Amino acid sequence: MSLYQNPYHHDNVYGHVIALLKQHTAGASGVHIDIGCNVAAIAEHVRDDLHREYIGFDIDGEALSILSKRGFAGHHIDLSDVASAKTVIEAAVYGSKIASITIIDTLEHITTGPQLLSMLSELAKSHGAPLVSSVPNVAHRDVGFKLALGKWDYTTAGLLDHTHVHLFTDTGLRKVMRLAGWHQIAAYDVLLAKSDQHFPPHHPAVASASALHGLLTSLRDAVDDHAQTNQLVRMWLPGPSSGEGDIAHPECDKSPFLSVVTRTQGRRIDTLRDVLLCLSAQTDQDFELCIIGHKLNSEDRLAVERIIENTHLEMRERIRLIKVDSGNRTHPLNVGFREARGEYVAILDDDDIVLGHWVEEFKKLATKTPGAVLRAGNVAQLWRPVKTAYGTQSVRAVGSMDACFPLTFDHLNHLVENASPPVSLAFPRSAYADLCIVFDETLTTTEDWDFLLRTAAVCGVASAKEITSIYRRWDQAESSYTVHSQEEWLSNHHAIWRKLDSLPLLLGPGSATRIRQLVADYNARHFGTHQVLPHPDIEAERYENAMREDIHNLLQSRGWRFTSPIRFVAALLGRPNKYPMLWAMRGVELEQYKKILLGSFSYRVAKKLRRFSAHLPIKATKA
Amino acid sequence: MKKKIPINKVGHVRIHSVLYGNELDRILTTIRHLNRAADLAIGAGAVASVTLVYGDSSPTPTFSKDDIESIRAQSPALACVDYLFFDSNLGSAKGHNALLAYADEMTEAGTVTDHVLIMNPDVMLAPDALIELVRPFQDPLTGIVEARQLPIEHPKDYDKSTGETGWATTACALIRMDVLHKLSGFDSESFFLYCDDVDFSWRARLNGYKVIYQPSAAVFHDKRLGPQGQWAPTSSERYYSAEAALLMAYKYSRLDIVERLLKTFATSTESHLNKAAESYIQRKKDGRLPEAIDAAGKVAHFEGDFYTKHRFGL
Repeated sequence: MSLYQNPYHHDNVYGHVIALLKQHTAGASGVHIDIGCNVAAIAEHVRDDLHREYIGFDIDGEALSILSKRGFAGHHIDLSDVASAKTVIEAAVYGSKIASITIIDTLEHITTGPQLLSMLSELAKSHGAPLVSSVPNVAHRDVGFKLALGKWDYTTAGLLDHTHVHLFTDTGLRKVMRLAGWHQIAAYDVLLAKSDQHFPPHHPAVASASALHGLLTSLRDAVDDHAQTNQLVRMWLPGPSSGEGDIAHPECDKSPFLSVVTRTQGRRIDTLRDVLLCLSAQTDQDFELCIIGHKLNSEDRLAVERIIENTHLEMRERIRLIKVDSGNRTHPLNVGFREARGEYVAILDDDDIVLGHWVEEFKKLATKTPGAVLRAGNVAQLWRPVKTAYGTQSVRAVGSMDACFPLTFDHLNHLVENASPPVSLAFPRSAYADLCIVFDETLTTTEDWDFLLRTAAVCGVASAKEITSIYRRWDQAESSYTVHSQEEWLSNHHAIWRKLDSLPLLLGPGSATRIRQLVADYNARHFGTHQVLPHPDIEAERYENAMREDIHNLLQSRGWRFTSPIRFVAALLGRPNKYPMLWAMRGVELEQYKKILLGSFSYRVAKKLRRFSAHLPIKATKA
Repeated sequence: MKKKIPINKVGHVRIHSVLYGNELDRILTTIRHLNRAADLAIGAGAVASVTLVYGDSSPTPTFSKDDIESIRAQSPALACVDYLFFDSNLGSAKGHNALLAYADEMTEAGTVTDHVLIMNPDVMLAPDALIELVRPFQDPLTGIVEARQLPIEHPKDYDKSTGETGWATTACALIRMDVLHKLSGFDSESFFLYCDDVDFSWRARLNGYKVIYQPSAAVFHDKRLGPQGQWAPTSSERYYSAEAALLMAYKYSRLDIVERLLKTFATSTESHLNKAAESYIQRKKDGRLPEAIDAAGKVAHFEGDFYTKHRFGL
């Protein structure tokens, strides 16, 4: 190792190490051992702040000499020989209690890290001593973004110090430590928006104002919190060894082609049975089925379990029932995608139908276009519940097949509305698992549309025209269209549009022509002049104004005024009700206010009054 | 607590299926479904035993002896699995009649059959399909019970309360053995592939039996859709349907329909329709037309191209 004479500072790695030790080991007595101490930037702070005897270990004689001149014990250690290193440490400690251990910016320089960490874990166990480690984060965005474009710049020190032999990421570090018997209890990472790898400063991958950087950042930030982490500074306690380290990748082992995620609330056992039958009859059986039982009561849970138990053995072995007792209807999708093990994941709700080649066609398409979102043809059909004299509850088709969904995916059309029922799609699991493109649980409807748009922007979409599924529309039965209000659908639409506008949008080849022609057509329709093109701010303002008017009309309506005594009583009880500052409220606030208003006791009473009296119109009379 | 519907009991069930060039893998998948449905039905007391018999019209045998042994070993819920290689393409009606004759032989040898489940070899039963198919036989007048097909449900209408329907498709239908005997099986002289089931249903109804559609008995019949969501029959399916349509109209005393169809078919630009018309005329010359029945139109119901009212178009 070379000599690194970096000084202690409260916001650099040394300051963070001491802060962790102070926070979690204050009061512990004994010696502190610092492995790979170099010039021991923390030695004085260990002595003065933690009141511990400091013992440093390093291979560099010059560093040890500097340490000695400052009055600290320093021992020569060769970390490439772990057995000898253990002897040196034990001799240096000489029966003293070890209060704490540090290994700062050292593990990246040695090839014996796993063995050394195991040895330290064994040593620490008998003392109950924690370890604080620091390693550079090779997944810092400055390194990753440049590497994605073929740039890898070694330097004399820093993130890509030319002497590094093992590179760490957050996940990789945890795996190495778990295998060595260390369990993380605290973290105080060093963050740097611009690392020492932030060069050349105007490289489009790293320059903060570039479109490319914006796109990469939007993707990277979704993955984890370490895009700007320069050094991973963690505190660990010794314990049992687990996992396989950072070299094994069990996630690459053989997995089924498709994971099918089926949400059920146990209310449609007959259609769930249909779903299971459609799956067990598939021409390609290379799939697993994750049934997500959402908020099942005990009776419904038993019914779902019975339906699964009834399937034949080969099918049953591929089904997992995962119970979820919290969240809205979107939450089970995240649970299902998280549990999925297939290369692709498809949503098959408990009331849809798939044809015999549903899996087969997805697989064919995945072979041709690996990694793309897969989309197969779909038709809709109207169904009703039915129960005949001698039958149990069932369903009956009452409409023809409606080819209402386009056979190929059009990204621009999908920005307007969703034209792809979930059952027609299969998503590469990696987009969820590795890019962390997850379902937005703040959405109560259209969660699938939002997820599709965000995944399609990254993965692209490959379409097969073959019809492989039937989207069931329900007549005289409950569906998401009957359960959720128009306001809810609209506010979810706007939430999605707002989200789309907040991120760069990646479109597939050919989109430039589509956009050029759409804009030209728009201009031509507006008398051939160059009008102000649609803009998110203008759209948002229109939406907000419409909502302000709705709320105002509601608050001015006769029905609302008639219920003012209720609000007067509420005010006396400490819940004052003032006319809102609608002009100052933005989209989400207006949506929330309207939701509260529509759910209020006053509104419910006013609504009833309207029902009772045709002479009390609740619709507004403008002031 | 949800109310439990009592299980009906129908005794010994024999499953008949006629093969013609089917993929072995798909047949084995079908058998896995059958075995599970039989297991549950026997466990629930809905049936006493289930026997499976294949008749093979394929040019070469679909199963080897080892295949049959393997199927028997892997299907413990099936009391017996039998296989007859016909060595000629008998079609649907004649194939099933041959299997019925074999069932009679077995009866003489002491194997009782109370009901026969006639099904296509590519139909997969839902686990509870047998239990559900058995229920309507609580009514002593029930002669045939038909299952609901997935993924494309048959569009023919049925009574939402009673389940009564004009005719039952034998893609998957449970039939009382005594009814099969009484009607002397299927009219194999008139029908090769299609309408043997319509004819059988109508004759059953003429004899006072009810034909019941049971929506809760789900089965998967692997059908596909065209790009606009339409069901697209093959050219041979269209030919045999056209040929059967003429014979159905004649047999059920609707010479007006025969005339209209012949005229349409003969002048059509579609060769399969021309061929169907020629076949009918030749049959007439040879004196091989069926005996005309139901002159009063008691059960026969011709609705456009269909044999009952349809709920929707396919």
